[in-house]
Amino acid sequence: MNKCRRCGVIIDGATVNCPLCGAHVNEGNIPSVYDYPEVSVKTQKQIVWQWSLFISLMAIAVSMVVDLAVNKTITWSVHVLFGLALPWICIARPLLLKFNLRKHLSWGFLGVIALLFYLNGWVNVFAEPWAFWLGAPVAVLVWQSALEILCIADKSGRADYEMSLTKLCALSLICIGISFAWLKECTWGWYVCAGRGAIDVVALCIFAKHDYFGELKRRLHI
Amino acid sequence: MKNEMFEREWFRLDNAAKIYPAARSAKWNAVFRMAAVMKSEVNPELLQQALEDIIDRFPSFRVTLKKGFFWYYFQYITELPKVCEESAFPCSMMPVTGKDYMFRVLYRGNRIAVEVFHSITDGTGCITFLKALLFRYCELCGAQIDEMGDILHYDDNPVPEEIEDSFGRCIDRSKGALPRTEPKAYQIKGQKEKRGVLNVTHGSMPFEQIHAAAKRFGCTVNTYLVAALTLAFMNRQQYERKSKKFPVRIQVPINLRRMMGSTTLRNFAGYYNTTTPYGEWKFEEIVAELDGQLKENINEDYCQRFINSNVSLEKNPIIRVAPRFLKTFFMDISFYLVGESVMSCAFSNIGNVSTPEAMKEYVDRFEFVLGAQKYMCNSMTCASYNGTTLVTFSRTSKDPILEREFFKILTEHGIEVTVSSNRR
Repeated sequence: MNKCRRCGVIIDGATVNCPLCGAHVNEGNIPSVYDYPEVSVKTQKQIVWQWSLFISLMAIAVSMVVDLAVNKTITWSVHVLFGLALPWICIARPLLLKFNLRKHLSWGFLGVIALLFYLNGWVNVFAEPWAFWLGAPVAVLVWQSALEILCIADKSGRADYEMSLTKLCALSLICIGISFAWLKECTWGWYVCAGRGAIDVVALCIFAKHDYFGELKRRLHI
Repeated sequence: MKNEMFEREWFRLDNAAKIYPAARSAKWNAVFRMAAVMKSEVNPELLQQALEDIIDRFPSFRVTLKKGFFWYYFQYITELPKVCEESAFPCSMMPVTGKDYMFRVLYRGNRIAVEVFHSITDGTGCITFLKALLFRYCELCGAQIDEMGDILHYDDNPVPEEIEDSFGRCIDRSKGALPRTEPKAYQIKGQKEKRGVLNVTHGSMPFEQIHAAAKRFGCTVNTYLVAALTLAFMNRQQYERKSKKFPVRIQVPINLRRMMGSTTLRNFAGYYNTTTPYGEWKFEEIVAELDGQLKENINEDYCQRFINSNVSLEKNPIIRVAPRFLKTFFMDISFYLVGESVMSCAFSNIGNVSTPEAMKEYVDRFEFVLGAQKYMCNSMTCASYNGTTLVTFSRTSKDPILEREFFKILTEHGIEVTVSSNRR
């Protein structure tokens, strides 16, 4: 072991340069029991993703500001918003994050619903809100079916699917409320979704009573 | 079934644990490491066997983090943990949600390391786990260990007191709470390393020498080290010549177990921030100042008020009914405002690690490394074992400014320091 003349400390055998001042102290690279693995520092792909997300958000913000300044309302910038946001939700997110079928499915369906609203707004500026009374309920029904199949098939992660089904039931009820508040009436689509959600919840209460209530208690900290 | 009492159960996070899942981000989570360097190369098969033997003794470690509607919670895991060969920087990012354990056991060469996410335990809990693991590992290696000391035996049943949330039990609102606001403290801002890089510098020194030096200044080893660290910050601030000067504030953790009569293996630590205003200080003056602060303030009354102030926030009815995502947002902000920006550095000292005599033939030294801090660049720890004290700095900046100043002070006091680092 050598001593660093500048710092006055003894340098452990494995270290070539003084870790404090960088002065050259050892000739050879003598292995030591206190060695750590040598780790190469790679540029992470997340940095690239984060920069592209930042640029997308900036593009959306700038286009909206320009649109507002020129037209006094949001017109063409909504296309920029959806054109950039939807690929992020439906494509970039699943690629960027660790694979989780339930989460990707949820984000995928949310993306589809958002796309329907976008098309609805583009075609007739919600004069006829078919995205809300037909498109979204159909998407929710397909979503419920997918979750039901996965809930039966995936025994290890069943609790998460059970909770997602419960959330969809709650979402349908909330949409019925919104429907009455917005359109002063509610279409059959949301009643079907809520009814199916209620059947799911009742079935879970009967057939998976212990697990389901246990999970609900955990999630709600009861 | 040893763990029948915990099977299919879930734990609420204790009071101190709640901040860490909220404050974590894609770049950072609160991980720290306790490691032991053995006198011979580690056998991975025996280490795996030892881990499987002891895991049921520590039910609070056999959990994963789950998201509830109001709070995060811990869920019991049935799969056994696996030991892994160390291949990354110490305290690297740990995936803590889903089905993953919130700790990992690593081995490489002679070193056995336990890295934990701070939500499941504090330093005392982690060293208890590591000692139990080493005890079993040494037994499997053929050691005859008759006396247990304070080591928890893998064959004993865990008791409920070990997994209790002691913060909740010890609240006494009649004693009042601590004020929350503290002004900003001086921090060393160096050029940042790339994401995920943690520079670790160990300084090993004979305990006798450091004890003698502390005695010369009429203080404990802990106060002596805090004083040296404070002086290192002072010297640096003088060198920087910035017009606005800040006080140096060192965060010193307090083990609340002894004062509050707890045996929990979960988080039960408080902290006290020592404050030294900027000025021309001599080392003796800093020692006198810090000795006074630590003796005067670290007592039962302070600890009680510390617990009260933390728990009263958690029990606030408005906070309780707020959904988790809102809590997470505000806790993350408060972590910066009342957490890291008000201190210069965290210094954690686990003191002298005791093991049975027979284990000293197998264990060379104990290491304690704090992971990267979210906003600060530096942190320092200390662990003593078998007559040797090991001071460890971890830093996310490139230049070892603080450790250079710190070890310079120690060598000037006649202490022989042997330095090693994970970066060559």
